[in-house]
Amino acid sequence: MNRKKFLIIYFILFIILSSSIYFGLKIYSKNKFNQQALNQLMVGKSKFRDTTTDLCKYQSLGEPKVGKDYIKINFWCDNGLKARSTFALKAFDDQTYDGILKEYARIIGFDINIIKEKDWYCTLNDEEINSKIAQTQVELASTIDCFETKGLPKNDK
Amino acid sequence: MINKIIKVLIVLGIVLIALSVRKKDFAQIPIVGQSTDEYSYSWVGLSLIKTGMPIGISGFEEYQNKYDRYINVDRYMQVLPSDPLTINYPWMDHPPLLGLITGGYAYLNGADVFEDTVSSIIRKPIIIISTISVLLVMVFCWINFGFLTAVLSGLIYGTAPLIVLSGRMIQAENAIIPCLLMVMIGLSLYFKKKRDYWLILAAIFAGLATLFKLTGVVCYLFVFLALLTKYKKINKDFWKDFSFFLAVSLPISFLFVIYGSVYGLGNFINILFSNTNRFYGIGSNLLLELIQGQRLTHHKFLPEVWIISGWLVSLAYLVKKPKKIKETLPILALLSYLIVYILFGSQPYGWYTFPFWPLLIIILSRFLSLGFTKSKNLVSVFLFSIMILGANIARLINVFEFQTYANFWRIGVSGILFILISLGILKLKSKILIKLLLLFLWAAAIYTNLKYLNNINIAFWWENLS
Repeated sequence: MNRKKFLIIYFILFIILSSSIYFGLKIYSKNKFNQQALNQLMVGKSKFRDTTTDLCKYQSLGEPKVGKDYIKINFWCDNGLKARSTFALKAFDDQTYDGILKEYARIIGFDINIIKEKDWYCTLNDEEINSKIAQTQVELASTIDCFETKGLPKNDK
Repeated sequence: MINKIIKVLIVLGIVLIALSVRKKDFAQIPIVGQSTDEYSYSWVGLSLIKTGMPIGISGFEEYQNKYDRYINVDRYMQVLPSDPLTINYPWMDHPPLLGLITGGYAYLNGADVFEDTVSSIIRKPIIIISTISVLLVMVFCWINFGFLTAVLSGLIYGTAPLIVLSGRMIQAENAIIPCLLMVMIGLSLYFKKKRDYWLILAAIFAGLATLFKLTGVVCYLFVFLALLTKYKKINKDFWKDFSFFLAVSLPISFLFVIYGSVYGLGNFINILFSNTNRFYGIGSNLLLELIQGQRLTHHKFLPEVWIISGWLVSLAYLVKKPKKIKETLPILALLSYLIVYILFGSQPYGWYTFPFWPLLIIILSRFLSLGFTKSKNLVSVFLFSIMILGANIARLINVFEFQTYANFWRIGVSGILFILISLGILKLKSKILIKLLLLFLWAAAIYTNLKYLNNINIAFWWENLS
């Protein structure tokens, strides 16, 4: 094989390929990438994920190591089951009660409307949720509790 | 001709066995989320395809664009304690080729968002790649050491439990392995046939290896050392081959720089150099850990007797210094990766050690098959075979259950050992009996591999793997 001849053809092909990659990617990312596309990728709903109607079925395990920058979310069901999760607050863009619960529904995989439709009774730091609280940014180290029935005791065992 | 067809069919049969054991429960084991790298690689590929911007998990402080997010793929947050994932872009921790394969495969299967990259989809391409590695191990052995070594290496590399489980993980090392093997095959054939296209093949795969991860540079190091071994000094012939090799491979590696410069050369260089500040978690006892403590992930240990035996035999080969180049190649590849491992090492994640394993299995298989065909080092071959079988049996039954077979084992093993030592001293050979004995031991060892693999399910994972 004539190595010199081979390398000349090879370098020409390489220049074509590398220019295509450089300019192709530059133009493609300029046209396709934006904040909305980024958010959609990161927190878009998956079509492969199962969703649940049992809000005590899944909980997120572990305690994030974030000092007081956390939010606890607890769901208490009539059948004695519970789902208790702690999240780092910094992972929530919208840090209001509404925003946090919406993101929680996405993470766990349930329809957020269930809470209203099935009359769940929710509190933020033991205070009943009203429209004002729902839109206010939550404090650090807050706790959201949701009970399937109002007055249900917290089965903490 | 018929003989050749039968041999090819045997090789294909072994590949099918390797594929089927890798496929069993592949989406559940190793447990999803224990290495979020698996997702990160796929997200980089998916985001590149969908938006032209590589987005993945990193954590390097040098990144300007940083988001903490919970992305509950495969519901892994319901299985493992989970902190939010730190998402960065443009992600430059590693080259994007592996991500393009797994993320691209997910995209072709309808993945739209990060949460769509479920393990049942993204692990499929890596299973194919790791099965190809089994085939390449056999091809290398067949070219250099003959059919028996090829079969033995394929059966071992195809069924050793730790290797099977590791072959399901989306880690760049699993893609570097077939590249390194292709380089070894290309170079072997180049040395044999003196045809340039074999050197070109080696160069292409050396370049490709670095597009999976920078540790793919092991291929360059290996070719340098192999050519040096071949020509014995840095002479004109050496430079002629090595410069041609570099002329073909370097442009391919350079594609990573071109890709990085699309998103700003400054950012690319910053991230590249921040790799040098990684925590050197493998520590000063890394060599001892390599031999005694095989890991799958950071915390999951699964000591693998095949690999430990491979290390012991390799050390013996190092002392003995093989004369033929074909015998030297796997040792050189092993040493090349050892240099890269020590230099690039950071946390003791199991996957950094994956590329050692096919090389160790090649060396072990060569050693065992020499005992079979030429009755070389028979006592050692027998001892290694017994050590492997014994360790495999111990994984299946505990010492109390073993008591039923204890007398058979101790009388059998010590008796055979005595006979083998005596035959060795008297220089007598009983080839057929020894061959039958070794065949029986190896068949039993492979069977116990399969049996153990069959036991591994999620419950077994949590209860038995430390």
